Amino acid sequence: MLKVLSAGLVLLEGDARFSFSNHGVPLSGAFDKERMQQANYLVGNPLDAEVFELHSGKFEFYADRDILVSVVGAGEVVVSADGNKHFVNYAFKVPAYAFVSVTHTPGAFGLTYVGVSGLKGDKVLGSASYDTFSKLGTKPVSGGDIFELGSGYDEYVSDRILLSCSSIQRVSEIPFLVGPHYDELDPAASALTVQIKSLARSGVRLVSREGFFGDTFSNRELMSIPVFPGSIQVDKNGELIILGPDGGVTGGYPVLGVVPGSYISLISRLVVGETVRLRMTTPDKLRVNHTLGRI
Amino acid sequence: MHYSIKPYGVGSLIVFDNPEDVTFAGEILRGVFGGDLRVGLNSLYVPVQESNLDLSGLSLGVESGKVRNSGREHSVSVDYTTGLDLTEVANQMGRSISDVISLHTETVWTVAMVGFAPGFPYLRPNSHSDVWGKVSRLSSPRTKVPLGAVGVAAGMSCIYPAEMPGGWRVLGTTDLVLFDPSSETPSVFSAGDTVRFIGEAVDA
Repeated sequence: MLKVLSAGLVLLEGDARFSFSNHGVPLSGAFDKERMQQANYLVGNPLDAEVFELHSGKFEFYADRDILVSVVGAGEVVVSADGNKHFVNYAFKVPAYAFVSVTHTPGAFGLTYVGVSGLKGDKVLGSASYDTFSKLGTKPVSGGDIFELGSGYDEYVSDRILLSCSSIQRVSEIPFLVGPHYDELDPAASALTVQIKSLARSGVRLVSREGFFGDTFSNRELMSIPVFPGSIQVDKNGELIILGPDGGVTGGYPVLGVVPGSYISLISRLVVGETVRLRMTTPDKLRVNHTLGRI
Repeated sequence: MHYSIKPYGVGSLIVFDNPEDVTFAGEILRGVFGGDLRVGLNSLYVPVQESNLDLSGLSLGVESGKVRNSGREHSVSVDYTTGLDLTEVANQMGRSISDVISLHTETVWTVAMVGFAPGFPYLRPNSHSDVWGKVSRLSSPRTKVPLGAVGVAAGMSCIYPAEMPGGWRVLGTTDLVLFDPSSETPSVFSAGDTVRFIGEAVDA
């Protein structure tokens, strides 16, 4: 078993909660799926296994057996295991009862993910992930919590390292596909520069530098339509909201576009106060760019 | 049946001129797209681009009358003595409180969609929609609406599955558990189901 000694804002996240959107249940799951999968790969877990998602503060724990631990993140992440300092993006062995301490500083290009070999959570509707909107899943991690550990790790896994890690780069551009109300933009723009106002698992709030939205969409509400993580809504004040994994499943605001699912991870790495470019693309171009290895 | 198709990411949003067409169109399209079909109040999301979407049989299927609503029927008991907004609703509808309750229980409501929160049903009246349309939302939503609150606003009714913020006007409360995460079908209601409310009149 793994026992938590102390935790800042730490959530257990993993695979999303599929097939229940028409029951009003958000997808949820890890905000930065790419980093979650990297953390799991490093410790030999299934890629969608549970990980600890660190939002702020110090996270300390130990296990009652030898484990592999990985920490995937960017910026100021301090890792130590029983006095030994470790770095991010590789797996390291932790003997039984050795204390692991990870400190994440918010604003450092996204969230930090801690993978632990064999980590398991109790599943609700197919996922152990904590949904900050509906409160489903494993409650936020706190001191004294105990987590089950499944089978141990294979020795060959312990030498894994991420040789290249695109997930730690700063995000300057995010693609989006056209949504049902995009054609109401006058003039329609293929690229929008926006500033990040706030960021949470429910979504990112942005203000436009070009000022396109205030006149066209202010005070506009319509019959609720299905929405998804990545849906770009325009609220009554003309601000943009890109829904996160815990965003609702229906909404009455106009939807300009959708950030494709494979790019939702980029949203979690935005920094409050900075700017990012939203660039319109098409499904065909997305397929080509994937083939060519571009984002 | 009239509708328009809008691009929506990798899929399409079919927007219906008559929201009631969503129920029957959903029956047909669910057979094609299963759980990937998403339901809105007057729209359906399908996970394919318009160029790959063939809806030629949709109008015919709905208008032929061969499509049956496979939704379940529900009876929901309501305690109208806890109606926080009964007086204001009666004023807006131009009726007595007793009449409002009678109308709420006489009306057959169809579940238009489940959204906003797990298990939260949006209910469309099968009759008297013009009367229910007179009720406005709260100008300032409550920070806490009671668990099980039965609400009305903007021509629809709803039931709150948990204590949460909300702007619907509360007519009463129910003990019905709307959402059970341990169940394979966690939401009691599904789009297309019908609901009848049961409760006693309240003296004004």
